Parts: sequence; structure tokens; C-alpha cells
Amino acid sequence: MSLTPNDPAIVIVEKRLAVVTNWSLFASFGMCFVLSGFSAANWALGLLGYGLLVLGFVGHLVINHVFEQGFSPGEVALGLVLFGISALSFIASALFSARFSPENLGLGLAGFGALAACLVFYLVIRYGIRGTWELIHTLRHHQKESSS
Amino acid sequence: MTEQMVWLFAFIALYWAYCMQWGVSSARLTQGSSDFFLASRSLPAWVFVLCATGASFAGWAMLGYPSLVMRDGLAFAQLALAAVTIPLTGVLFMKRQWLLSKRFGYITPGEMLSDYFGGDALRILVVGIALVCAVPYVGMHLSATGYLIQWLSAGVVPARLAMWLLTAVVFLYVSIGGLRAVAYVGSLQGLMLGAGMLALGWLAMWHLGGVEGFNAFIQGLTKLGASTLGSWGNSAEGYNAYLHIPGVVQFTAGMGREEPVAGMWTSAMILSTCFALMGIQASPAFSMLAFSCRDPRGFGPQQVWVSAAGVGLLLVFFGLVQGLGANFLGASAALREAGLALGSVLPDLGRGKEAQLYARYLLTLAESAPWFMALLAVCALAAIHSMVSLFTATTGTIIVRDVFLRYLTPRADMTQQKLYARCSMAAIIFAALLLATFAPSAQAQMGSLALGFSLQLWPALAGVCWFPWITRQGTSVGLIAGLLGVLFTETLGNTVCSFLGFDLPWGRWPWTIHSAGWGIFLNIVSCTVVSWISADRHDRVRRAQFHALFAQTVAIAPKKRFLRPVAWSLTLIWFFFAMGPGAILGNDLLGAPNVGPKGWIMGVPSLWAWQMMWWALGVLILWFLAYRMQMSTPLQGDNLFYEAVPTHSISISKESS
Repeated sequence: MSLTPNDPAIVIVEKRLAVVTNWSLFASFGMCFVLSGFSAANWALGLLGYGLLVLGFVGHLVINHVFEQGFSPGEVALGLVLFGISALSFIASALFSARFSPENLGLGLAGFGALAACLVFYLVIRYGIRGTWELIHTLRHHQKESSS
Repeated sequence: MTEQMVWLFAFIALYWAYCMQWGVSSARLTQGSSDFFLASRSLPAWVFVLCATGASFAGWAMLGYPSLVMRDGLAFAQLALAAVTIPLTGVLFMKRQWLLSKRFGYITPGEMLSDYFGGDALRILVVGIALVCAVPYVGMHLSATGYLIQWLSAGVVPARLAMWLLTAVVFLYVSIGGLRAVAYVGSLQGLMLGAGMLALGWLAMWHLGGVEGFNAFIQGLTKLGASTLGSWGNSAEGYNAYLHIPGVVQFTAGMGREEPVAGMWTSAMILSTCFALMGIQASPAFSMLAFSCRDPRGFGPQQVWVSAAGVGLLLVFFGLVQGLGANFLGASAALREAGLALGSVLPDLGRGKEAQLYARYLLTLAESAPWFMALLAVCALAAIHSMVSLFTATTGTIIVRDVFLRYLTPRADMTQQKLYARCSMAAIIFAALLLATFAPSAQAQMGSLALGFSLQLWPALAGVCWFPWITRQGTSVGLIAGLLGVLFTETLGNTVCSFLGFDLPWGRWPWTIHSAGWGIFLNIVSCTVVSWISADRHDRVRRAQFHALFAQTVAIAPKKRFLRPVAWSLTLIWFFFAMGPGAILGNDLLGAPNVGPKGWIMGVPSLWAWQMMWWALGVLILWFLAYRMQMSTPLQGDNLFYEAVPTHSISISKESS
């Protein structure tokens, strides 16, 4: 017996396909431009790369909207891990690499700032200013409770 | 191992992981035969848009077009307008084929044609055409992937090894996941095609010196126009043939016997080659891709906005700068010696080395940005694989449904059908690889038949979708005549005749008309005459039932019927001036090729400006056909659904809920 076109299993896979395809394009080109920006200490190339990563994020939001779903726990976890690894690599390079120039420092800070701004922007759009504050407040409250 | 090799292998590994992941995910969704063969007829519009675009343009737009523009100049570049004509086939046939497939449960175009016309001759012919597309044509593209890796790895990875390894992964994901895997992977491949073409165009612009360099490039074209440099010398009008279409037609005996004057890209050759490219979307593979769609919502956007507008723009501007610009970046020894070069980043690519152009552009990044070189290499591989995977998967299905199930094992269950399909795919891929490895010359001769052969399905599809007066006999005779016409105006026909002990009085593409042009002419004439002779009232009534279904569901609204003659007149006028005899007006109507920007009305050579103008008009006309004439719009009324029925009972069910 074949699946029907609107089978929930197909819809789930299609959403994943859209997300993976979107990030495969924007992340690969974005990271290549970021690398070129760092390698040639070129602001334009680096910012273009960050711009593409931001576009990838916006694309993900559009996909979430079309499929009427939010970020899955796996997506959030992967995003945070990649962001963390990138931030650690950046800090390590800034501290220990002899070839790390002031332009590289500025480029890295600009990029991470842009990505962090995206996250805040998304939270504000999704939950509102008050809702975002309450979300963070609730998380902190839960952390305190679990530590005590 | 050099840094560029590490990046190259890393990106290829990521690409493989992506392909395999979707192969496995698709396999998990496979329950019945329709799941494996037609992705449960559930492909969403956006997946179809990307996959169909990738497969339509694949290697020829990304690798072939810039290389031949570099070699043959603006006359060849007129073929950028194929971005409009390739989807025109889809506009004419896709929606109606989809409707029939949805209504009657067809899985292959052979089943559809056989059911519509009656008899099995067409079914067998479709299998033959699909095989020619799948084996030698796919093999040609696989060879290109092997050579790309060989050139990029400076010979460290031999072309054949690279080709076999890359193809193994394609085979794995296609055979595991079926058409769904092809379409899902194809969605990224389509995006990579566009991104790669855009990136290469920018790279060429960057090497030329950006905006200022572009002005220098235009000045260079001016000097070139006033010279006799280039592959083809000067035309009869005294213009450099590089910026000029050499007449409407030249009555030469054909390539290999008599060389045309000032190049072979006459209007007749441009038009007939465009016909050949229109065979892409008439091929059985594209019929099956249309069958696998959930609804026709993706057809219009794919045809008008993504293909004609998007890829058209990439070809008309970026592809052209890439190709023409290469001559000024060192690829033309003649221009370099004449002091017209603007750079020397490319080596001499004359004397048959033009196919290396894409790889040579990438190698300019090997030192400064090896990650980009690797990424753009994967873009090319992905673009080629989109076509390879589609043709392999659909031909495997066609063999199972139209040969095994029809003649050999009619009671095969779902598991057996999938097994046979996988074996067929393995055989197709293996045959293509063997041909590419051990008989590249024979493969090139056979592969050049593929598009011409596919185009010969036009009258058959026109009968099914539009003209009930076309008979089974007319279609069969026309198709055979067309296939013979293509065969005997290609090199293979000459080779076959020589083998049989006699020589044809013409070579390849006589009268500067592509074999597809000869084939379709013979096909249409034979089909019309035989259909007129064999007209049968009983058969006509049976075929009319299908057309009654169209009249009920997809016919143009009565208030718009007066637009029909307008639409067809505009289309014919467009063909006449864009790539037909009228295209030669573009040679100097907007400024003579040798006068420079001051005399060029749009600041670029007249033929280039002509091309931009007719590309824009072509997009408009395609939009008019697809949307205003409702040839690619979704069906009216969302509450209609079409349940597959095995017989010809023409009735549309209303959703009970």
C-alpha cells in the first residue's frame, strides 16, 4: 500500500528537507566567504559571509512559518553547539594565533554580534519583548530551583 | 596532499553524506510501488521547481555553454534563449500529462501513450528513447565529472577512478530511495546549479577587474570586432564572425565534409539546436517527474520564473561574461599575442581544450581560496548528478513497467518490481560507465542522439495533450521517421553506413541544421500525412474521451479563448526573431559589431543586446502562456481530486468530505 500525498510522515520529512537544503546552500557559501574574509583580512568578503548565514537563518524562519512549526530540539541543540564551537575557535585564534590581525578580530566580533542580534530579534518577534524577558526569567528561575 | 585536495575531498564527502542521508530517508518512506517509482505522487511544488531546473540545465548550462561561447562567440551565445524554449515544452505538455497520470494511474509515459493510442509500438519506442538518454548521454556527463576532478587534482586522481567513485554514490542513493531520493537530492542540486553559475560569473567579472574591468572588456570587444582574430575569421559582411551570426542557413554538406563559412551557428543551426534542447523536457524522464508531483502548482514557477527568468539571466549575462571574458583572461592565444588580453589567469584553451574552462576558472582560486574551489567543484558535480540520477531512476522504472511487467513477469509483486528496477538501474549505470571508460568515441556518437531522439516525442505528446486527430499509425510512423532522420544526420549514421559499405552524401548536420531539426521535420510531415490517411472514426471517439477530460478540467476559460490566436502568433513571432531567420537582424541593428560602445545603442555588441531584449520578451511570452492562457496554472477548485482508475471512465470525483 502506497503512502498518500498528505501523509504526516511525508510532511515531517519535507520540513527537514527544506531546512537541510536551506542550510546546505547558505551555510556552505556563507562559511566560504567568512573564511575568505578572515584569510584575506577583507571586511567585505567576511560580512558577505555573515550576511549569507543570516539569510540562512531567515530562510529557516520562513520554513518554520510555512510548515507551521517551531525549531525542533535537535535544531536548537545543533545551532547552539555550532555557535559555541565557532566562538571557542575564534577566541582561541585571537589568543594564540600569530597571524590573527585586528581586522580579523573586528570581523569576528561583527559576525558573532550579527548572529546574536538575529537570535534576539527572532525571540522578540516570536514572543514579544515582555515574553522574551519572561522566557529568560523563567529559565533562570528553573535553574535556581534545580541547583537548590 | 595539498590544501586544495583536502578541501576538495572534504566537500565531496559532505555532498556524499547529504546524498546518502536522503537516499536512506526516502527509502524509509517507501511502502508501495508508487512510493518508489513516483515518490507517492506527492512531490511538493518547491521540490519539483528545484529538481526540474537542475535536471533541465545540468551540465550544458554550467560547463558546456560558457566553453562554447568562449570558442564560438556571440552566435552560439544566442542559445542562452534556450532558457525560454526548454520550459516551453513543459508549458505545452506537463500539466495535461500530469492530469492523465493522476486520473488513470500511469506510472510511465509508455503506459500513457500505449493506453491513449492503443497498441504497444509506441511503448517500445519510448523504452528505446529512454535507454539512449540513459546510457550514452548519462555516460557523457559522468565522463565530465571524472575529468573535472582530474583537472582540479592536477592529475593525482585519474578521471576514470573519479568517475566510477562519484557514480557509485549516485547509484546508491538512487537505487535505495527511488525517485523520491532523486527529487529530494535534486532540490539542493538545483540550488547548487544556480549558485555555481552565479559565482563563476562573478569570478570572471572579478578577474576582469570588476566594474572598471567590465568597461575594459567592452573596449576589448570593440577591438576584437574590428579585427579578424577568433576561430572563424570574418563574415561575408566584413564583420568579425565572433560577434556575428553567419547567415540564415548555409547549404553545406555537413560537418566533416564541408565547413561552413564564418562559423556554423547560422540562424537555422541556432533554431534547430534549440529544438534539440527542447527535447529535454519532452523526454520520458520529465514526464515521470511531472507524474510524481502532488499538484501542478510548481509547473508555472519552474517554467517562467526559475528557468526562463532566473537561469535565462544567468546565461545571458553571467554565462556570457564567463565565456567571452575567458578570451581576454588568457584563454585565447591570438588575443594575447595581439595585446588585447586583460589578464593571464587562464592558460591557452584553444585547439579542443575549451572543455577545461570551468576547471581552469576554479584553479584560479586554488591558492587564495581553496575552499571556494572545492565548493564550486561540488556545485558542478551536483548539477550534473541531478540529470544523471533522474534519467537513471526513471529509465530503470520504465524498463520494469514497460518490459518486465508488460511482457516477462506480469504478476511481479511490489518487492520484485523494486528489485528489477534496482537491477535495471545498476545495468544502466554500469553500461554508461563501461562506455565512458572503454569507448568514449562511440559514447559521444550515441550520446549526441539523445536530445534529438527525445524531441521526436513531441508529436506523440501533442496528440495526447492537444490534437485528437493524430492517430496511432501517424505517431508511430512519424516517430520512426524522426528517429531515422536524427540518426542519419549525426556522425553515428555516417559510421553505420560506412560499416555497411556505402557512404552518405552528407556529413553531420547538413545545411547547418541540427539533426534534431531534420528529425522533427520528417516526423511532423510523416505523422500528419499518415494520420490523415489512417483516420478512423472509432479510434477517434476513443481518444476524444481523454480530450473531454481536458475540456472539463484544464481547458482555458471561455472568456479568454479569443487570446489563443494572439498567444500562438506572439510565440511564432518570438521564435522568428529570437532564434529563427530574423535573428540575423541582431547582427548590426543595434550598432555594427566593429564600431564600439559609441555606436552600440545599448552599450554592448548588437547581438548581445538583441539577445537580452528577446530573452526579456521570451519571459513575458512564457508568462502569458503559462498563466494568462492557464497552461501551467493549478486546477480550478480545490475540492476536486483525481483518484487513479485503471480504465477510461471519465468522471471526476468530488471529495466526499
